[in-house]
Amino acid sequence: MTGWLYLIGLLFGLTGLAVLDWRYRVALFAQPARALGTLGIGVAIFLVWDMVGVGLNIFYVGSAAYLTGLRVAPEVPVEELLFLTLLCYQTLLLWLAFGRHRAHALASTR
Amino acid sequence: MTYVVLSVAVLALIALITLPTLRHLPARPLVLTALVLIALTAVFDNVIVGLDIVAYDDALTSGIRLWYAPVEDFAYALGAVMLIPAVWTWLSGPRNATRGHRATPAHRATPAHRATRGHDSEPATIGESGESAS
Repeated sequence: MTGWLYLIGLLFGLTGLAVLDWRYRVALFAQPARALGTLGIGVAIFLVWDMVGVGLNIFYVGSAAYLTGLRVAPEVPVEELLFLTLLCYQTLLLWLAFGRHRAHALASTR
Repeated sequence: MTYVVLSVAVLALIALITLPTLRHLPARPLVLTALVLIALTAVFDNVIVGLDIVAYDDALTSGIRLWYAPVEDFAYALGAVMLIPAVWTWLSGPRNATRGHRATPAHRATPAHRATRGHDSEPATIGESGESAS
């Protein structure tokens, strides 16, 4: 059961971001194709970065008490895929939201 | 130190590719995003390293840690701040690309264009033409 905790935590975070995105129409719920493309390319590049780190033996899967054990590649658990998605999605939402806030501020000064 | 070298090398590569795009974007949203991401990384990374979800070969890291989190892990946050906005901008499609980075906000300037977007469209967001208004 504890093996699913990290995965559930990640999904919880992703769901929270998606709800905010849906509510404020920021990325996936504003320009779905563009958002999916951005997240796909971002996650793919980070995965390569991960694989290089694993290849150099810098980091590896821990004691795995909180991991499902499902792997997408050697030393790359399925949770890492979700973590990278969370990182990229979080970045995209923050940046677009800050940009929108700025645009509102600019518009209101006119 | 291998992890430091890897992080710096990857960040340099990402910077090389994305900076020509990023320099045309407003700085403020990028800086604010970076600050929030670094704060979130400090929390999140300490949790996953502290719970032994990910582990490191100490011989290959700098040994500099913020509590549990190796300082090198913050490269992921910096990489994301450069990569994601740049990719989003590249994927703007021909409609925005032909206007060029320095184009004035055309949808404000021309009523005809504005009409095609609908009056309820959001004020210029990043990635729309208003991004380089300043």
